Amino acid sequence: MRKMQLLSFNAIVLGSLLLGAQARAEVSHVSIAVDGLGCPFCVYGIEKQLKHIDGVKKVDIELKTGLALVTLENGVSPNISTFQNAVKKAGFTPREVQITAVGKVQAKNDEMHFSLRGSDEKYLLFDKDSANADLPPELKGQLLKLAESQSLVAVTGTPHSHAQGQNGLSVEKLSPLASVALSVNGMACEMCVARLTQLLEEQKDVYQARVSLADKRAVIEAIDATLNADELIKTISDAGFSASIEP
Amino acid sequence: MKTPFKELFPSAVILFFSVIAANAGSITTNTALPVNEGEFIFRGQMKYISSTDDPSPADRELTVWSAPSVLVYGLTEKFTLFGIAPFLDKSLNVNTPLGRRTRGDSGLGDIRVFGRYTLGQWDKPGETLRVGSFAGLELPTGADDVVDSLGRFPQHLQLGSGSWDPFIGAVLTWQTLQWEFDSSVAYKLNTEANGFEIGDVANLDLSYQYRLWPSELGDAVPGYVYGVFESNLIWQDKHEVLGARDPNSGGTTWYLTPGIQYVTKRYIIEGAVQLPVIQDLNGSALKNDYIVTAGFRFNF
Repeated sequence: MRKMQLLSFNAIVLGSLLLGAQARAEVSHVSIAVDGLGCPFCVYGIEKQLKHIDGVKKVDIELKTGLALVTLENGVSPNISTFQNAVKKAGFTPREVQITAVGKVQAKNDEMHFSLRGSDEKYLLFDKDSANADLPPELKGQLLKLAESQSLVAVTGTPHSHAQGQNGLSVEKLSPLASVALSVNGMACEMCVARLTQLLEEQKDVYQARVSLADKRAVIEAIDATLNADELIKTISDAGFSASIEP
Repeated sequence: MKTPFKELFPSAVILFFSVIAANAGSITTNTALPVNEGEFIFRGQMKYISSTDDPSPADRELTVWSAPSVLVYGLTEKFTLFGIAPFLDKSLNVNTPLGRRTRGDSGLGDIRVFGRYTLGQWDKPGETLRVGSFAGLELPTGADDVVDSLGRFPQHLQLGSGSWDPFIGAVLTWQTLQWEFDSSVAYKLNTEANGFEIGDVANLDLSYQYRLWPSELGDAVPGYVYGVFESNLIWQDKHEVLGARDPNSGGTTWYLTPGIQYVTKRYIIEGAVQLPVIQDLNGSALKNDYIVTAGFRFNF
């Protein structure tokens, strides 16, 4: 039986801080399986504890499955034990924790590695059912294609410490990252950037919006969803700016 | 001093002093379900207690409106604090040598404060089994010296006992996504005040709640409708008046209690009726007809 140890992200946070404010590991979601949850009235306590954690944008809980899905603010490096402790403080028992992280796949010596965007941290990718890094052919094929194309991808899996001391991430799901790049006119200052970023990230399925005043540009990303460029342009227009799809 | 008529303390009246749950689960019993650290729950109830089955010539009719307000606080995930403040309106119609009279009063009753600790917790996906213990004190905050034209009210008609009364108990809860079972035992040691000592009280409460709707769970957190069925067994010792035991007090009462609840993430609304199926009371103690309870709770 595979011995799994949940990874503490303290090393990632420390490494990120040492490298500077730009190098922040990009984890979009944390999902925690919660045991002991049986009725709606008890859900509130878990929600309240998780929302108190810095960097948490949203918490959704499914009573039927006992899953607490936490959406993080952009660039947040989560500490897994913080989420587990929050569930305990609510009076319940945390079980498996999974993260969804954005980055790129790299092939190295017949192993597949995953580098988080915004960080130097790498994870050795595992199949979720195997005790070692031998990946099933289908999964390996998908990862090799991603490594060749160097496309950004969101990997959902359980972090753990590998026997050799490496950080491991079992692959539960691979989600393509869709993006739309728009030219934006009318922004005058950083407040416009902040307002537009918030507005775009509130739109359905939008994972992240990177808005640049200097480049007069907005790149909007979605995980495992399709973006409608026309709707995004309308959103920007309603905010008082103008936008068009980049050639 | 012997009164010309007997106004005996109906066993049922003690129910609104019962320890009541606030954090989901049962309506008339306690529960071992957790309260999140730092979370508050407020519970309001309205109870109507009717006791008119009087075997004595006094033909007593006692009605009590009780509105207990409960504030709960999760000090830690295992230790929860409770405070119960009851507002009471008591009215007794009774035959006296001066004719039929109505006596009564309204106001704050005796406040209860207690703590509950989770002793054991066994969690599985969608299921939990927990045991806990609780202990506390009933404070003499209710008026215990009310008088009218007929003199001082008998002790049991006063809003408060005048005494400091400790209590202790244990709870067990087994909850799944479909149903919940709660069991609670408690013992209250009533002490003496104003020459009167109310008999000690022991409670054994059971509760079963079954999710009637939705029949299948979907995504997110739906509201539940629970059908509730509870059992309340109460034993009370005889009162003591100036050191002498009152033969017309105390006894055992068993209630069966059907109810219904609507439970959401932030609030609960509920109602129940307690029907006495057995009232084995001593002497000519006044028997209870029924108790109707309606209430709500919300967390914050």
